[in-house]
Amino acid sequence: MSEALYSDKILALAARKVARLPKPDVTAVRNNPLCGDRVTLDLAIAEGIVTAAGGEARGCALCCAGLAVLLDDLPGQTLESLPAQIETARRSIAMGVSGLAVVLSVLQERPIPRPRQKCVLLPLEALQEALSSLSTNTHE
Amino acid sequence: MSLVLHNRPHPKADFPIFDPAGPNAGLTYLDSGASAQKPTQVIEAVSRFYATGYANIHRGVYKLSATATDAYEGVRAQVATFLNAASEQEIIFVRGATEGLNLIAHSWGQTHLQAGDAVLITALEHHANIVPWQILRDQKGIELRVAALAEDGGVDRADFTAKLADGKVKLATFTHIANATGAVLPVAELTAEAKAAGALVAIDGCQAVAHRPVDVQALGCDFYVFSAHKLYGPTGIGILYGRLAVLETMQPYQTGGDMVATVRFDKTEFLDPPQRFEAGTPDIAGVIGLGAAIDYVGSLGWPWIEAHEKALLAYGEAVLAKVPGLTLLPAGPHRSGIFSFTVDGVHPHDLGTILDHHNVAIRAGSHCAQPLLNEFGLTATVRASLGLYNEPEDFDRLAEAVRAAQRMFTPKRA
Ligand SMILES: Cc1ncc(COP(=O)(O)O)c(C=O)c1O
Repeated sequence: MSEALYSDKILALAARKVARLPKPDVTAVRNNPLCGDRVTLDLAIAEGIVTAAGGEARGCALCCAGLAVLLDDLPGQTLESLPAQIETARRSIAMGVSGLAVVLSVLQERPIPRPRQKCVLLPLEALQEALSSLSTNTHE
Repeated sequence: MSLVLHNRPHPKADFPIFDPAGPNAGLTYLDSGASAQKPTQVIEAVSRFYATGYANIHRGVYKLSATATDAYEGVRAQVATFLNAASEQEIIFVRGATEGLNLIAHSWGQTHLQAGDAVLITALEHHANIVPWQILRDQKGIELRVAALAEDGGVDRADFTAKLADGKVKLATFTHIANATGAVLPVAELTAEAKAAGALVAIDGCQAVAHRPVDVQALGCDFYVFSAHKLYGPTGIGILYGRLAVLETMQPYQTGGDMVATVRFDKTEFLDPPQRFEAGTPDIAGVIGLGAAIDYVGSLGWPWIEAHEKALLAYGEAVLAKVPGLTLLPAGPHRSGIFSFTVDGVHPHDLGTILDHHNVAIRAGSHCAQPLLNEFGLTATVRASLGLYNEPEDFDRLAEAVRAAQRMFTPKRA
């Protein structure tokens, strides 16, 4: 019987208090229609680099832990590098392997069962949405 | 506690998924509301049909096609008896309840509803009985009315009555048993009331047909839909019962082969119901499996099934009541087959995963009934739903696993 998915590390991440940014350059919100979970992600950006990340999650432990890890990982990353990282993380989660992905590397220590992958991916989807709204805005 | 079923072992033994020597040994299955497991009788009927009786129906002149057609049509007669329909012409094979409801919206709604008319649903519906009417509303300018949720988790009868009062409601469509809570609606009374107000009535019987006998003539409804997979039958097949006089006024849903009388390039004439609504090659083996499922349920008999499930429900309610921090969603005056609940400090999805670690299969989420959960101020619950193979011990395992989840989360997320 494995409850390993809910390691102390993940439970601690899930319990971590996170906060919205007071003046984000971009905000994205994603819902999971299966359970009504919701992730809000704020980014502050300067010269193509994420300078600060904040947000909030109304969700399960996996979703909250996913957001906490993401908020840790994002500052200092170039916007340019993010789409590829998201894709790598998405694939590793889908394959249930621990991988080299930078984003969500902590979560990937444990394979996430298929019905729960959406929970972990929700913060990443918010990031993707933030990136695409950024690029739309830049092109306008 | 176990009711004795004379002359045979407990029906759980009929379901190979529970084989103690098989790959799912120790499984506690409490998700029959999403889909029920299949007895050997159904699995073998489908397999035997493919192995020895298979051919397309209604088309061949050879023996095999004739016997396949007889078997397929035989199930139609069997379903008519199962629902006590007046005639087998009133039984339409569809893909499932979802398709049945969409068929009503399309084939009846498109021709019989016009701007200014209203359709009445309740707050307790599955998305399948909400969205088709919303689309019709947007296409035709009809009004979609929703009878409110009562405080006790049932339907608000006064609101239901009030929403029928102006005579604009042309169709009242509601669930027999709410899939997200287990609330049993007083369908006979609601039907009588809606009919008296001049509306037709459709009932979504998905969560009812596996738990109690249904008599569409006694109910007086015009439509009744269900999916075979919740009745221990195969996926991919469902039933739309329609009163013949109503079906005769309806347009086809899909068109093509099997549903036409004559086709010329300038004009096509359609067959009478039920063939008018069954375009193309149907899920023949699914129909055969549904027949076997109805036979199987019949072999146990409603008195045993109902008594067994009533005892299970009482046991489950007592066990869950003893778990601190567990809140059961109310199910009105009568509950059937389903417990929907939340547990303080543990998100339903996390709970679902931990229960799975304990080999307890339940459903977590919004159960395709987001509006109903919103009424309760929730976005998700855990739902345990039972079938005739469940035993009281299943609820003990459920409660034990819930407690384990609480131990895991309470100190850390406090
Ligand atoms: C009350 C109710 N209505 C409709 C449906 C839809 O059934 P299906 O998905 O088999 O078409 C379900 C099944 O989840 C249900 O429980």
